[in-house]
Amino acid sequence: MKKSEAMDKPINEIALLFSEGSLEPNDILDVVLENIRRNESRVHAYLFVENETVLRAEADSATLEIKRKNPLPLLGIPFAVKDNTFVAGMPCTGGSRLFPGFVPRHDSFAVSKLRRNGAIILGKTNLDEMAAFGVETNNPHFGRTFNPWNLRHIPGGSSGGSAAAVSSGEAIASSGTDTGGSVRIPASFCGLTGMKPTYGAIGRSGSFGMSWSLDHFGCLTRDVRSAALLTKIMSGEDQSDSSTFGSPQMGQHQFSDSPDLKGVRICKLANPLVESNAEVSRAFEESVGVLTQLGANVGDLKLPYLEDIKSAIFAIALAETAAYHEEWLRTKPDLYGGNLKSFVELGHAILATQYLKAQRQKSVITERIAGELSKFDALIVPTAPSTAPEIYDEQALNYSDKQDPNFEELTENTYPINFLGLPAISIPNGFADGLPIGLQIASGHWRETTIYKIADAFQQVTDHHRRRPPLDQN
Amino acid sequence: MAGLDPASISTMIMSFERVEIDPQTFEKLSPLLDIVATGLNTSTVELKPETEPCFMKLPRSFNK
Repeated sequence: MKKSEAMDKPINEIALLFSEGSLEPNDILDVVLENIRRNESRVHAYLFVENETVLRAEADSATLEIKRKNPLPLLGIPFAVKDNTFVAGMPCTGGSRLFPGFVPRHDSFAVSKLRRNGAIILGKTNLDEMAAFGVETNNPHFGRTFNPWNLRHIPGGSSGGSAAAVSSGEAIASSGTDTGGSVRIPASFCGLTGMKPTYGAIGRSGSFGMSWSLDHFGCLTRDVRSAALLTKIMSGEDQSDSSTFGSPQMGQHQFSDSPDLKGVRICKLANPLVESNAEVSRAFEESVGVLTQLGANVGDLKLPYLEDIKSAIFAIALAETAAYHEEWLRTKPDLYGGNLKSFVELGHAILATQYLKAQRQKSVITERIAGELSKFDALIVPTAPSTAPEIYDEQALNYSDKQDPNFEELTENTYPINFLGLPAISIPNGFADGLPIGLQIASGHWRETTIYKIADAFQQVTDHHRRRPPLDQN
Repeated sequence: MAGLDPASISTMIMSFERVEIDPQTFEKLSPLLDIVATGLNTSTVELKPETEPCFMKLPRSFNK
């Protein structure tokens, strides 16, 4: 097998090749570093890449451990981390100028778990400023990340660097954070699997946040089985993040190589807030056909309160972001880019009574919708209503026919899931004009295994997730 | 709050308003405030006196 072909395998299969001796961590690192050398100047996925000498030493150490039969599941797996998350010894910017020269001494909760399980941290990936109110990964201080499938298009955000890194073969997998769709939308736009587990499943300490009530940690991978493995490893109670207190420990999902969804009840969201374009709608209906052929019963479900969610989530996100940034905005206003500064300023206009009413509504709506969803095993809806929009070039002379990507519209199918704290995954389910399309599968709280079962069955009988961007032709 | 007249309360509130909103920003993004205000005011979500903010109670069990 070519070394580059191993990149396409699920992490557990790469680990098996390592243990059999047919592949070594340095082989995978060779491919990843070559892809970084070849693609990074065009894709701009990273803000920081670790020195090769350090990475080689870690790969050598992983090789030794594998020969000693050390069973750690991520030994020698090169992993990229979104640059709002602390990795000891690596600079962390948050995509902001607020923290010049900041190099954390400690790993974040999630990164410490990845490292303890053998992962090699390659570097830090680009993001929208402080991962807030952005879907483009157009950072005002560090520049844009470009979509590997078509460099004229956005990769999605705010975890766009993490998505572009995996999509272009510059990492096996990556971490992301998701407050309104920031893992799932880049996954959709870059042809990847993006998983955001239940609120409170993965501790967020050691990362810059946006909104305590809505922030989730997640991962971007090529396939469902890798996402399940990483999510399990990163999950657990974090003594510095009260959202995780009392959270159940996730088990290792047992995947079946005989895809069968007989008896699985799936509902299509019958009243989405945004209408998908023709290509996305066609891919969605084809996916319904695939799931039906696998034995699932697919019906329709109208969810109540979606308009209420919209007003409440804006109240919560704006107020919490303003509270998080209050001191910095007051003392260092000139260090902000225009977009984030605008939203933070606006958040100061949310009244305390509005914020608390929104949080009380969140209680009622979450309970009511959890009840509706309990009649089904999963909910499906397109991750985004379109493929990745073309980059809006404000310098171009003839841009009147182009639209600035609409943050609100692109996140209409994802932010309700954050509001409800539900687990959800985005998997590739088609292409239009060479750009990937994503299918979102959500389920009830702590029902990640149901999502994995459906998404893995889908990936066993489709090949959208196996396609790679034609970067050499871009 | 005996002893505090409306004017002094207003002064107190103003002293906490340390972040000024740029007028252009406000004009550009104020539709979001309308979404919040209108949505919360016209919502049909029934809040009972005992309804707590969401961060007071979170789901904590696996549903197999």
